Amino acid sequence: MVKTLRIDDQDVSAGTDDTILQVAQDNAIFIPTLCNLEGLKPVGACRLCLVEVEGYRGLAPACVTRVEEGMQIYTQSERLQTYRRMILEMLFVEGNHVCAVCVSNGTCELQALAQRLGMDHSHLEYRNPAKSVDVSHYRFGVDHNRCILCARCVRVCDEIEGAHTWDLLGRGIQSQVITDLNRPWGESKTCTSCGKCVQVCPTGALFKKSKAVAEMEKEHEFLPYLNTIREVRSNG
Amino acid sequence: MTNKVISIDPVTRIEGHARITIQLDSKGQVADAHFHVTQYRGFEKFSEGRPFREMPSLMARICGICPVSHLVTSAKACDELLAVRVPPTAVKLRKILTLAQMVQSHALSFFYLSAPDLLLGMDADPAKRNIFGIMESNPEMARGGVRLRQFGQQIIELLGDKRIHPAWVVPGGVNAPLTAEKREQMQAMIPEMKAFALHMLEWFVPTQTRFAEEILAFANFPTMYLGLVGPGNTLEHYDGDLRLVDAKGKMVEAAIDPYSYQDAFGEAVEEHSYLKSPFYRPLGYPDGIYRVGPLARLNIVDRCGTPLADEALAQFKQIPLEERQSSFYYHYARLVEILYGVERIEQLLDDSRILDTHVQALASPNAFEGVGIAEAPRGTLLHHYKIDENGLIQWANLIIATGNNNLAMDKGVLQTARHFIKKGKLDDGVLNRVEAVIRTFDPCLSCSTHAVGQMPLHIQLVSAAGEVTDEIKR
Amino acid sequence: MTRLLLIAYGNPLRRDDGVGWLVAESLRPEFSDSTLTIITSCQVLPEMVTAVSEAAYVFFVDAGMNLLPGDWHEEPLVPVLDATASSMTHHLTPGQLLAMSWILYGTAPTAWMITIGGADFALGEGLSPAVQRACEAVCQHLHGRITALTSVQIR
Repeated sequence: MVKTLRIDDQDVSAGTDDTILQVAQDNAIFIPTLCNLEGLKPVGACRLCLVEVEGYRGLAPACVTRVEEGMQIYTQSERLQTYRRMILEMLFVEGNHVCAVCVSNGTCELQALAQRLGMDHSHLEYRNPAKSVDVSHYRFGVDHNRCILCARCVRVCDEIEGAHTWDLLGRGIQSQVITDLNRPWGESKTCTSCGKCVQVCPTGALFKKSKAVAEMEKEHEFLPYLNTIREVRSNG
Repeated sequence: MTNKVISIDPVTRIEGHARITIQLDSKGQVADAHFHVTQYRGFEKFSEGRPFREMPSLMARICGICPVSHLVTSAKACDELLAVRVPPTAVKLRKILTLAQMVQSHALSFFYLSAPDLLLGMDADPAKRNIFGIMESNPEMARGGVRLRQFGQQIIELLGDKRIHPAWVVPGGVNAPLTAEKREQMQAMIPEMKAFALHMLEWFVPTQTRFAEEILAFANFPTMYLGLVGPGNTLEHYDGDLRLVDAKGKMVEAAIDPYSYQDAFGEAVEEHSYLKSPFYRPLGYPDGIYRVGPLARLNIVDRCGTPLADEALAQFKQIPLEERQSSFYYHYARLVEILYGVERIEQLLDDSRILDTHVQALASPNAFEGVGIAEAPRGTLLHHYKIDENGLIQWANLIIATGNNNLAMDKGVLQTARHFIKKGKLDDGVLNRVEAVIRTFDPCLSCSTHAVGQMPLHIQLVSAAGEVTDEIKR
Repeated sequence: MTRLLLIAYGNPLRRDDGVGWLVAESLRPEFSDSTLTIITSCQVLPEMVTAVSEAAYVFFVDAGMNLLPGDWHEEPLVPVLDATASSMTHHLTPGQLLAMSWILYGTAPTAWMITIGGADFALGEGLSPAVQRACEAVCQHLHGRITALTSVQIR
């Protein structure tokens, strides 16, 4: 069964279960995302993929909104651009993102998105929160200063590795990712040291301890592949 | 005549911001003079809690003028934390980078900042006493200055892919080997650079006779000299022993243990400046005064270790040591070091293993404390870090090249002021000399005020007539 | 082959001040390296003199505060020995750079200054609308100028 709809005045067709984001990506229409990653369940956490849908009262997160027949979707309005930049500004001021000395300088998804969306400085006041760095794990480190709480690490550890070492603690600006029951990563009993969390992290928050500035390149091409294997196994 | 304070603010043609004050007594004689560094930073503090592998790039941000020196010295301190042997090719590549930085920095200091005084004279018309004046009066030298600076910058860019803040030097080595193509590009520039460096020396050395007064009064007093030396007491900017000799050339310390530098050196905080004043502890403050940088290095070593520079050094050493204690000779020393830098870079590029691809030793931290020392263009630079068992910086201390010279600069300003200011009579030439003595040291003040500390406050209100109407000190 | 040099300067992190850089970057793919050498920088530096001395024609592009936003003009440049301006810094004016080339290498290329009036010099990237339009116009203008200069030489 195929559905037809319009995105930015362009006629497109979609499968029944497709999300707006999938259809847009299939048609080379850019919608910014940070928490979304192919191979992980979408959660709609970062709100960067919000789009306008005619007839909807609010904005719809494209990654978790399924398409409907005859939908009219707008992805590039001035209002959306402003919101997207504002969300990025909030991400930047809530953490301590110092690109120049970051392991992920040049390969960071947050940095790349800020460049692409024209968020070149912040209109909001930097909060300079006191955040910690945990490098107790023998291979990996987590720098909470650079975490944007996208929860990719939480999901990959749970959905793919099956270890569920990572979780989220706290509310609002106090939130942070934790390992086990908020114990140092190096003391985790559940972590298998597989490193998937590091590879899916969009920023330099999770990194290999052996990497110096601008040396940390992330790879997540393995995810769809692992997912396919998992599906084949559970169906077979 | 009443007491009078003369303020030179800002001091021009140096890197950073500073002020000089000269106090005259009622007879118009110089009563006192000081060199004030008026900018303020905070690097040691905000490195605390960061993973140590960030330090080279973080510390390089201390300065946009000599980031390479901080990068290399910081990486050396981090090597100590890893407790590994850095692959020999990586060491050579780091040496090339260090020397390229020195060549371009010395070229800037000599040709852009000091040559106007040296070529046109301290009393020349201020409107002419600039880079255009030099070009008109000695175009060959100006071409050389431009090309030598370019040479250093191009090598840094070729090695690190970036001219200002390359991230190429990492703990354990460098993160990419040199390619044959880049080596050829560098080698192609060498002959021209050697010719320029030689030409500068040939021109400058005889002209120094014009500056007898300046030689006499530009921080011309006995101090010790501190610097790194290579095997056989040769010139060295990256490795080697940290040596201290006295004003007569006698060995005070053959090889100061980098980990005991705090026993050897204290740092005094003066009320009038943000820049700390290090001194040699066994002799106390201020008798433990010493100098670093090009002049100190040449006054310590016996040989350079490259053919042309060795000839130049031999000529330099014909000046008696007690005359060579004048900071005016920093300029001469800089030219010798430029020649050495070009020659040494050539030697290192010709090394048959310079293209080796094993350029980084990989390890986790194996020591909790690391000290790195290298010679920045301006002198001995030291980084000292302490980490916890996971590699987070707990504490950092930096002793900066320019800082080492602080006592000598301060004393030099007083000496120059006393010599040239007679009966309160001032003219542009005199004021220019007071600045020029500071310029001999080529201070880099952005670097040297990197630390958090007490903020001294010294405000002087000087009326147009020169009357001190108010003064606040804290 | 005629050697053309484009020196675009200004601060690309100060919005309209970076218009020269944007002009340079949009012309870069249009001409081969052997036809047009492009230098982008925050300031005019003495080291640029070697490139200037090797060029037959030089265009300088910068943002200006003395023009109305979006206005732009091209004017011929002559070597200027204005010595007072440079005694304490390492940067020069385009006229000084030409003078430097003349004194040091005995050649000062024919040069023009293109100034584009800016409106917004605040921290940030991207141009204000009027300056964006001027940027496109200058690109088109320079494209024509460079093409004409190179074709004259071939004949």
